Amino acid sequence: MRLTSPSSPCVRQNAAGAEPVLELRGLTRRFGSFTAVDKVSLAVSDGEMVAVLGRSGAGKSTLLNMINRLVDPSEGEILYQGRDIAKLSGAELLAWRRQSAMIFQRFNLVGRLSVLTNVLTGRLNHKPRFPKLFGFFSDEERNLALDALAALGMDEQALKRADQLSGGQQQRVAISRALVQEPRLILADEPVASLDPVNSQAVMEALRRINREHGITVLCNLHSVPLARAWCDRVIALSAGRVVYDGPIAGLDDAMLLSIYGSAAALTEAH
Amino acid sequence: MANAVPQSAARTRFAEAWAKHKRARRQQWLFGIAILIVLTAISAWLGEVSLTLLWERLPRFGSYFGRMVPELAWATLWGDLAYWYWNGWHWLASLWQTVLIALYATMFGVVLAYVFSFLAARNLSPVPWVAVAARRILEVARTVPELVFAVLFVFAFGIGPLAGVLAIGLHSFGALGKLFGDVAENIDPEPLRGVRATGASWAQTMVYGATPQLAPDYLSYGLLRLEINVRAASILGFVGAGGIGQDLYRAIKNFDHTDISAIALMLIAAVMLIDAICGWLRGRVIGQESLRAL
Amino acid sequence: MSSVHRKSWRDRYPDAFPPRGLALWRRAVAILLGLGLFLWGLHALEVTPGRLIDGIGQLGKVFMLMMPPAITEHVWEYIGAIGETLAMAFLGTLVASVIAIPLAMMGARNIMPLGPVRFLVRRSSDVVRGIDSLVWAIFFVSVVGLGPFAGILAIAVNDIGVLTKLYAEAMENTDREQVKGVRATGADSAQTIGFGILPQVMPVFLGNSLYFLESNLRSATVLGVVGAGGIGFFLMDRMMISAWREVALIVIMVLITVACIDALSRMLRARLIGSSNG
Repeated sequence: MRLTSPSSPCVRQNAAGAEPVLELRGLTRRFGSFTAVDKVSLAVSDGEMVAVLGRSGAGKSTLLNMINRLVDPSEGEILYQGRDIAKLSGAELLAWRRQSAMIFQRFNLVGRLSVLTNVLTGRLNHKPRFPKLFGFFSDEERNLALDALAALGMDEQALKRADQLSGGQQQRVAISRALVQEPRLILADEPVASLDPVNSQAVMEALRRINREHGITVLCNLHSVPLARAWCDRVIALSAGRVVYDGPIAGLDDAMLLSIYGSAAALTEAH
Repeated sequence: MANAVPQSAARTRFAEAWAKHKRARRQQWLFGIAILIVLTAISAWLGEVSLTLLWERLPRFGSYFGRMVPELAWATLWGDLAYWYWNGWHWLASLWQTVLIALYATMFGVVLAYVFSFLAARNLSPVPWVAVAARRILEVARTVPELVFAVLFVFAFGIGPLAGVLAIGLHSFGALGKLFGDVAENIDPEPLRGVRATGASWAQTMVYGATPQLAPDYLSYGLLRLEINVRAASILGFVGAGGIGQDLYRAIKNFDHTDISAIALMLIAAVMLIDAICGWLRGRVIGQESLRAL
Repeated sequence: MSSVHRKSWRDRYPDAFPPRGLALWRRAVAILLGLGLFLWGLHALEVTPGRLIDGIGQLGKVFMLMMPPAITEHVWEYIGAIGETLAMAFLGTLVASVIAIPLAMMGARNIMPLGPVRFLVRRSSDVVRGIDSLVWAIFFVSVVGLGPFAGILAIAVNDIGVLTKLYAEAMENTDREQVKGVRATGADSAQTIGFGILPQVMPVFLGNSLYFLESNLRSATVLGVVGAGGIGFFLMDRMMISAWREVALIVIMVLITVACIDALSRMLRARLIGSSNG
């Protein structure tokens, strides 16, 4: 199953120095007088798996939501392969959302729909769009959905109601949904924060596998430093909406961590 | 028990505050009751309420009901019943038409209200001012009485059940639209975000993200509306909009008291039957929500 | 992936795919049957596209005739009639809310142990509910004469039917735990009802009554048609003589009144919920 769009090359390793494919320039988001994200600038290369660390309230979720345009930026640019995502609207915006699949902390599946239908919602922005309003998906798309479920080990649950699954299972269904979108980018907002260690492992492993096998760039908000160390090549750390660290995971020493998390107590929580 | 537990300063402060709060609450209640009494007095005056009149006229209750009771004797029971229901088959047909009117009007109202509810819900509507406008439209539709719509539609579409279906349908659209909108404003936003994040259009998000959460409540309200609409359909015939109302009106105008009771009984039986069916269906709809996947 | 793999999805999970073959035929037949029934019903209701189109044209004409609404010298009469309507709705709701409580207690399983009494209460309320308030209005006009009093009685009686069932169900659904808790302190039946059941259902009662006030105001507007007081008489009369501009005026006045009462009711209900949590 081909899950990468034809134009993105299959890059395998941390491509430091390669052409950045996603660039944020001066990205800012204010809510009234509160600045959640403050002039964030960074560049991500194709195929990287990047962890975004920081305390809760540091602006991680807002940042990811802006990239997907679920939230609009107050200022700044989001450039993907040269196009400013922040200025997109209409059909182009919807197409972008399809290409930047999101994984949520609470899975955000539709509980009463079957697992299969949930995965199929990932195909809503693919043509033909109108019949899908009435539940008509082509056999081709159904096969694609089942392939994606099988890749995550969830095909046997295809006809069950989504809310009858455990947390770890639901997140894997959410990843299948992301896969069938044929995305160029996966934005994972605290994907394992609601899961136990075993399921966290399975989900992070799945994300890593997708990143390596299909070359899809992954940006992952994480609440735990060991997780970042175990699964990602590069770390961006946010504190009060600003980038305070941007580099390889190895460069994160204790002093830096203390400044990110602010206090020893918060730091131990992140472990 | 005095001084078994030493009173701290905080506890005395709390006790005082609590007492003050209770006093304020009691004052509020008394104020409310006073207003109620005043309003009742005004209403009684405006409404020309006269309990003595009611007392005087109590026997009329009896005589009215008495005239409605047909003459039934054990010996001639079948004959008497046949006489009482001399027009029974025609009335049954009218009753059937009444139910049909209610059914189609409810379907019409439910479908329109379903679509409209997404516009009227502040959390779902595509642009904020649309929600305000939608709510106003719904308000007009459910405030104008069905009978008034019926007269208007009889004028426009002619005498017959079509006017009735449209009148009740429009009114139901208003009532259901408001209820649906309220339900829609309280749904879980997370599944919506999940669907929206895939690049789905607004309509697709409503179908896949919102509708599964809303379906059991919408169906339940729809069935409830059917029960109400059967009652409404029964009187539309008064103005020529079809159904058994016409027969009832004729019986009342001609003082055919036993006809009134005959029709009323059939009507009550039909209403009870429909209520029972709708109640059962509603139970299954709510129960089903814990079972199958959509 | 090879096509062999593809076919196996359909074999392994046939329900994940739309029906084929016999199942498809069955579904098609069912849909056609449903459609047929729907169209037959429309036919039975004398609905034809021609009538619909003509009618909409007529409606358009009427709407043109309604603009602009005329504020004639009758407006004072209308205001008085609306006041009457408000009084009817208010008293009708009040009386019904009060009378329905003891009746509901007699119909609730957890308060009235005697089955036959419950049965009688519930069935009577069904009968009373089944008859539209307009019919009750006609009846009461013949008992107490023309005027708003008949309307009040009609609304009250109809509502008693509805509220008795509603309240009885609410009482039966009260949280058993809270009632057990009260019983456990040694309370007798009356006290259990007073402290265990009533506090739970009181906010529901009051909130419901306010909601019914809104609804009754709407139905009170038509009772005048049969002489039971209120604005209904004027509305129907003006429609009958095709005085459309005045009809528009009356409708707008009613809309404003109802909107005010709705807003008031909503405010009170919000405060009730606040105080019940306080």
